[in-house]
Amino acid sequence: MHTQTPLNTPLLNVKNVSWGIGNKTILKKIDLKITTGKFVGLIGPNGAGKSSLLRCLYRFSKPSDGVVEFNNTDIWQLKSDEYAKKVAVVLQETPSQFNLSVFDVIALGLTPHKSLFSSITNIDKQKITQAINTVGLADHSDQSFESLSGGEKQRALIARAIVQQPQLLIMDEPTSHLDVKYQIQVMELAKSLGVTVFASFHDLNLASAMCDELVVIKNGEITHTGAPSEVLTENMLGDVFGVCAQVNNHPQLSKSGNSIPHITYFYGYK
Amino acid sequence: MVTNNMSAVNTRHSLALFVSVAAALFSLFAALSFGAAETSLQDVLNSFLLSNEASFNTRIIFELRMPRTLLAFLAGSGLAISGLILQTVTRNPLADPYLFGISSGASFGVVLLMALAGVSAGFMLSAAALLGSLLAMSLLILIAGRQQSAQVESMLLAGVALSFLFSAFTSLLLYWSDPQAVAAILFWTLGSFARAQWATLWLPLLVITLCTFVMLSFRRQLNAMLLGDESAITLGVRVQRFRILMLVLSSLITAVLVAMCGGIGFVGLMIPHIVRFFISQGTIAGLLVTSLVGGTFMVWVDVLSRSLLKNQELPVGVITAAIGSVFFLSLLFFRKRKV
Repeated sequence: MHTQTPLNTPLLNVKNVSWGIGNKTILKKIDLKITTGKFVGLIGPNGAGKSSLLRCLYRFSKPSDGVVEFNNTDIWQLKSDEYAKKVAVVLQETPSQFNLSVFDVIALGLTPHKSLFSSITNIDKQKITQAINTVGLADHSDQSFESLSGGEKQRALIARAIVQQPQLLIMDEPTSHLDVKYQIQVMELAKSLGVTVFASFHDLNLASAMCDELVVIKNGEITHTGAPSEVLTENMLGDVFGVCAQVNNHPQLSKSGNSIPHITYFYGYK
Repeated sequence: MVTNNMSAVNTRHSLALFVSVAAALFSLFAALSFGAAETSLQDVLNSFLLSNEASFNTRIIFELRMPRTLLAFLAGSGLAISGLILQTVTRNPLADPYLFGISSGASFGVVLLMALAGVSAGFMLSAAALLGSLLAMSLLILIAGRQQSAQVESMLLAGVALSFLFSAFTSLLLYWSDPQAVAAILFWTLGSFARAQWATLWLPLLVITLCTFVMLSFRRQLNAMLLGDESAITLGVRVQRFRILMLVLSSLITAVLVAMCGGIGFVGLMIPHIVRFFISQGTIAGLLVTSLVGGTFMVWVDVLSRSLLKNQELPVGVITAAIGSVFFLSLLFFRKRKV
């Protein structure tokens, strides 16, 4: 079986996908390609359909029309654990009052890889330990997951995704409740993993700094795609987000040496 | 550093498992010495060691107390594990086998059989309880399954509604029955291990062992459910099917136990919470400890029910519900104080 996809062919191919609740159409004929190795950001105003689109990609919602292909296979043709071996997901903070340790939560990443009766091997333990060290939670592995701060929880969930060994990491506004420092920390951590990432962003400047490509969604339709410097224009911000803003260059350059667009918002809409 | 922490967790879990196994074995043994006839631990030991001696005490211990103690243990461990499983798959800390109408359904089946056919013991009762609980369960799945979103919430509400519905029918049947039957049924619904005998012990043993084994093998999926349905789906769990499978297993355990020993409340609710205070239930050891603690607790409840009053047996359900309510209130109290 080929698990390695050649560069530049889409890892994830969304073809003509529509989805809705009852009579209300949320997503309208979405076409989208995610290329292997890219960090792609999804931005759009509240209610535009960001979460709905991502849910169609990780099989929480089944499109009413169109297909989502992963490595040229319809994702609904795959077994659920097969798909979970290829795609990991980090969601917004989920509260849970049950006493799971951080180690237990991170070990959940093994779920799709393990058969019912198998136990954790030493290799698995090494993987988990490595993931815990990567996200910097070594001192907390014995602690209960609930006792972690918001940023630590998201890091633990990223560690769970690392253990899952996916080809694609999907994140739905994973940093929306976090302080600035942790927003940057969590996103840079995701970027450092070297897997293909598709993440929705609340903070446009963070999206601009992190992403290779941006996808803009409004009213269930994709309006813009491209590099941050192409997408983040004053016109787009006015049309899609309804704000008046100025776009300059960030004083820092990106790692690949490109300039990073930086948005300054204007106030006084009343 | 991480490996140290990990082995600390493992050590704690192994220790907890060791302690609960030891406590369970000791309780099973010690409980045999309590009862109406005066026997000591020495008598119990003698009846084990001197197998030829067919003394009066030996017969009491082997033929009356031992099946009874074993049934109590099975009931406690079965209710504790099914309570834990239901709390996990619904992510509701208040879930127990009673909340879902499963036990009310079983009670309804048994009361119906008692009222219509006058049967008050034996295999038929288990069958009626099983049928009643399967009826409740199918209705629950039918109602909850129709609504795709908000599955857990509608499942819980449907369970509560069904529970009331079956209680209403049960009460109606009791209202129509003659007073003697009502007394018998009342005692039955309060729970007792008095009907335990070797001949029927295989049924709960088989069901609880098998169901617990299946539940243990799904421990990863169970943990995955704790962080939400959506998160569980992304880990490859087929959430709806899995939840229904777990519901079926817990109902099987509950149905058999309700049939054998009547309605014993609160164990399924409180034991998982007590154990959760001490260790995480995410591992095989954690699940087993929950089950063993439940069994040990029930063995001592049965001892209390036999020995609190002279020449009279208290219904087990009364004791667990009394202890359970106090526990429940203190849980609420401490929760509030923590916040």
